[in-house]
Amino acid sequence: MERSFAKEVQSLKLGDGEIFHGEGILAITKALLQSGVSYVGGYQGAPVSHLIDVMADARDILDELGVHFEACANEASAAALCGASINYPMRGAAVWKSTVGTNVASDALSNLASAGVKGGVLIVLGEDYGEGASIIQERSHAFAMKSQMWLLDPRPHLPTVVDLVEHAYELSERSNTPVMMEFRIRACHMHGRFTARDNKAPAVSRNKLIEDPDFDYGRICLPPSTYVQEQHKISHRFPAALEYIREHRLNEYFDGPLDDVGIVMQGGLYNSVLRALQQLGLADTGGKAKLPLAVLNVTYPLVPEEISGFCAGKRAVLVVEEGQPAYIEQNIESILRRTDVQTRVHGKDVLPMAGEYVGEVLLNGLSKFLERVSPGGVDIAAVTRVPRDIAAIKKEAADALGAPVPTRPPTFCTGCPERPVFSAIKLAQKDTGKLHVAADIGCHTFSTLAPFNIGNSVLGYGLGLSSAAAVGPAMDRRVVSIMGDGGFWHNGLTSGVSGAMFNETDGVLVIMNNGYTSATGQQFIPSTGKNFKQHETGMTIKRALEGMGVKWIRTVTTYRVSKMVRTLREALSTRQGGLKVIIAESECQLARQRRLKPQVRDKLKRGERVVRTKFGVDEDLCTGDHSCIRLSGCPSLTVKPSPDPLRADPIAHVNEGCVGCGLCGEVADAAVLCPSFYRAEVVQNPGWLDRLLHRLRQRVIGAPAA
Amino acid sequence: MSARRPGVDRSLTLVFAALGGEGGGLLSDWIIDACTASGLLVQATSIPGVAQRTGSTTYYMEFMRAPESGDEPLFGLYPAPGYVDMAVATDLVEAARLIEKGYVTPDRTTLIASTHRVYAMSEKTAMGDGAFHAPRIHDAARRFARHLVLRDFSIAAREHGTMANALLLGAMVADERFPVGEEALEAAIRGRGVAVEANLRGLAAGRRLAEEPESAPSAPEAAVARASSDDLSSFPEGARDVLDAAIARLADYQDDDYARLYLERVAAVDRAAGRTPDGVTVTREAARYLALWMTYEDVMRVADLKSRATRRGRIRREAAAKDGEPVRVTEFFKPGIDEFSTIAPRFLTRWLTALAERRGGVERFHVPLHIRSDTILGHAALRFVASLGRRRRRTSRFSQEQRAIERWLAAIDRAAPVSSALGLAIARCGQIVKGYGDTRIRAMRNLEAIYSALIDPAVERRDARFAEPIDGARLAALADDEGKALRAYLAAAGGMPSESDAAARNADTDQQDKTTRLGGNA
Repeated sequence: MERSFAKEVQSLKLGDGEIFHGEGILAITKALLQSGVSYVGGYQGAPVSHLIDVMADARDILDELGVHFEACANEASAAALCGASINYPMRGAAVWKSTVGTNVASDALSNLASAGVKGGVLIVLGEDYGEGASIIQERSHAFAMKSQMWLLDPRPHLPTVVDLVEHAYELSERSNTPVMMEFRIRACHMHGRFTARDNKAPAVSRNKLIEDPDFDYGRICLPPSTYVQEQHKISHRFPAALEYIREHRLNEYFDGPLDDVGIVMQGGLYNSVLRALQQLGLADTGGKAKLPLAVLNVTYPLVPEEISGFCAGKRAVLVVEEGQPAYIEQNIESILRRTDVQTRVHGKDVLPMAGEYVGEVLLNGLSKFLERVSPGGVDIAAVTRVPRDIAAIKKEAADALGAPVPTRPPTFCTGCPERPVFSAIKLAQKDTGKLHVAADIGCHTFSTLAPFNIGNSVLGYGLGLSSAAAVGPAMDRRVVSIMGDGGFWHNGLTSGVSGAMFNETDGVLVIMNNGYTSATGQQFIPSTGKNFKQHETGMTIKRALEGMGVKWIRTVTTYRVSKMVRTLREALSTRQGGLKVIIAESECQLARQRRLKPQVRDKLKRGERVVRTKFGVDEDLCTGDHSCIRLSGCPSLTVKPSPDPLRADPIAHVNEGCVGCGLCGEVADAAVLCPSFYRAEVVQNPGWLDRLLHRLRQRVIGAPAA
Repeated sequence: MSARRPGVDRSLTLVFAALGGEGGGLLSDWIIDACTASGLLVQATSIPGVAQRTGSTTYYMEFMRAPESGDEPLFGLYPAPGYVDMAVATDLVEAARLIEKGYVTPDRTTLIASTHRVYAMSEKTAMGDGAFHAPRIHDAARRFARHLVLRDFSIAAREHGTMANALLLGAMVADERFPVGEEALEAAIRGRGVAVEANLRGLAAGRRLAEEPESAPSAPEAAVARASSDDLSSFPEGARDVLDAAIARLADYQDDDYARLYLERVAAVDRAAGRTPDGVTVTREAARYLALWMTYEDVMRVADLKSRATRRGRIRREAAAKDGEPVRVTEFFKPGIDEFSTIAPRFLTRWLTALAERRGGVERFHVPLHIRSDTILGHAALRFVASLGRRRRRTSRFSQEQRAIERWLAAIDRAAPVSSALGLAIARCGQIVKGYGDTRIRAMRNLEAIYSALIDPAVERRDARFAEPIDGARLAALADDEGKALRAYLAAAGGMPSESDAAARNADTDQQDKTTRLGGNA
């Protein structure tokens, strides 16, 4: 990381009674330390990257407590890390973005869950679902069910979350089962407060070593142990978990005067459900609702007695469960059937099956539910008017605006080193014809959006090359696969490159080597050159490729568009078979600017010479056809009204965000676009030679005019 | 401060819409810190995710005074339509998005937004003007906001060396419902330690800006009426501003004779179009695009414009160079045979073109030329090339362009008497003619396609119903640079079939098809 998290690290040091202020994900980090974990590991990804970042920066605290932190190669290794808890009473935590990370981790998770744990294991899942998500839309819930792990979905209220983290370890140890805790995007970034407790040094750790390794065949995942383990899940672990959940009241139940109906919800949706009830006039400011509520902080397993107890005597309940399939609703139906409770269960009949439950969705769903069951004492007309009024005002707003507001998906940052590669691919296609491009996960996936629209499929992190294996042989031209350096080390090297070499794949692989996992916040990776402890690693992508036996490797600076086009053409046309790899190299501009800006500031302060570069467009030469924008898409390359009264169309313009990466000039050059671009280099704190030349030139050429 | 505290009865809600990288996170930190220090309860959340890479994103906050009972109030995590007290946006289209989502309602919402535009990709990549219609946003904002503060905060932000976030914070605190005062925010800005002085200046400036009455939006710059030497009294009044600007441009581009030729051409259009209001519009639009076309950008023009003193001043301003700071300027030229042909004698050009075509096409031969125009030699070279403009009339490009112009004018002249709408549609096709190199070639190809599919038949048959399809085709030609939209449009209109099946189609049925479908359209 080029960023410092010193301030966040300070809040991890808070002791008994002190008030913690901060984001949800940081609160969880603190809660882990309060729970006495021996180890923490994970793989970065929104919305939980912060946990990894802060841990990587918190070495002094971790050293003092003896906590081991592992920056894992991927989620599978993060899950495997938890193997420590199988044999020893070590508490540990792993964190990643879900469901993608859970997919990668699930081999290790299944084995972990089968063997069972002695020390508590908590898997922190950043449930990347709904608005702001960057991945396929699925639920983590199924993983808990299939492997028999417990799933917590805490009410977004920091004191509750922190308590539940501590309970999760007790629950995990009491039932010998790993516990997963899911946090939605907004909960991770929710700023709140809680009263801290002292951090707890772990019982077993780097500071308190194990002398006697444990061997127990019963904990090995091989028959016949696996059969026993499965039985143990049912005979012991499941009932133990139910007992703990019930005994410690992990789920919350609230009474309400309208007790012939009720609402059962995932804990994570509590605030949103209550807000909708407030809007409908059915809850007060403090969150006291007129309907009885069951808040499931544990969504798997459900405690049958609790569910049937809540539902008994009610005509109907509404199950508020986000996403699909409706596991909880089905579970509740089955519990009620078995216990012969005749309460009507509503859920996905009034709420949407798919998609995030934002305020308006819940408002509509609750209103429909109330309309159907019409509890005594509720003015149904008043309730249904609320969503109707909102729909009306939105309709009115849409009419007033006249057209849908243009969407604004994310794109490559200003000066991003990956953008030029796609400019080059777009230009190369003018000669080669359209190419099939197997895209990958990372910032470079933005290539699939305008203005490039490059990338025919995305199959998963590091899987760009693997996803070209079958389509490649069926293609008229060679397929170009993309992989980021993050994806390369995550699994692209093993699943993609080794597979391609072994199968003698004839294709082109472009590896974006920008130095970090940039999309998740520039965390260090093996080829960064150093690890989070700032120690040299000596690992490079090129050497790894050579080790795999790749013969055709070219390293090209990404900003050299013409050279990149030539290299791509060569890779696509050479007679040499096998895998051709282009390492597209240039540092992530965000990280670079973060490092350079203070340096430049200091230099300027000291009066040293600094050359600042900015590109520009001559407003009287630009004809407003915007082809440069279609080949670049840089946020700082934008449009402005033409100062020429004759020209109706807006012209291109480079705004003050320009970092002078040079792509504008390169593209204008490589694409033979137009001569409107210029590069201006301002010499700050000029030396005597600079000044002399400047004066001489001004005298001969003439001074600039206003 | 008690006067500005939100009540305990319900929380005050605030949604802030920004683009990734605009400092929305820092803004929420400032507000949270100020609220916490003032003893207010606050909950904030956001959905940065990948949006931090310049996508649109929102930050959401709720505030409340701690209830005396000691109970924790309930805070929401999502802005809810009809339930937002303060909606703030860093750009006009983001404000429109807030309105679209129902977060701005007349009963409660203060809308604060910067009127400047950060254009979305789709607005930028259009070949023509793809920008969202701003006046509609202004109208909608006035209609839906309970209290409205629309100002260009970006200018003041630049002046104070900060970002719009500090200015917007100043505008928020100017609203009486905002939960904390200016002092608390100043303390928070100091506490965070990020560009403290600039942000404090921004905060104060934002507040001032919000408290000033809204200045009338500056009307789009009207062409400055210039006293021109030519007498324009014979031209319709509604076109004279265009002609004024055009004559100056033509004379600057070539000479007075060229300007006179321009006026003769416009006079011909004027005669054909007539003096009805619609006819004058035809003349005006034709005059506009004719001026641009006649001053097509060749290498001499480029060299001329790039070596002017006014340009050097503009570059210094845009690059924010201080006095005494030298500015080095590099130009990116990549002259090819086209550019060469504008300088070389025709026989040489013909020979070179023939050679290039045998070797894979004219557009493949280019020499990258990066010239430092701030140096004495570089400047001299540009002036030399610029001086060749005097013999522009002898270049092959000149005759080529004049032929194309004549063809276009002839079509307008014949169409305008049939119907002003038809004349106008053809005149506006001048908009397609722009760009350099490949882009220009593709533009001319698109125009050619519209000629053969629509303009030629329209003129031939004196059929006014073609006006609408020609307009549509022009917009389609401007939708993308590969001619995809245009091909689709013409195919749908029964016009030009896609390139691949062009040969396969029977010309007769093609013609029939076109006529019937056009009939249906009209």
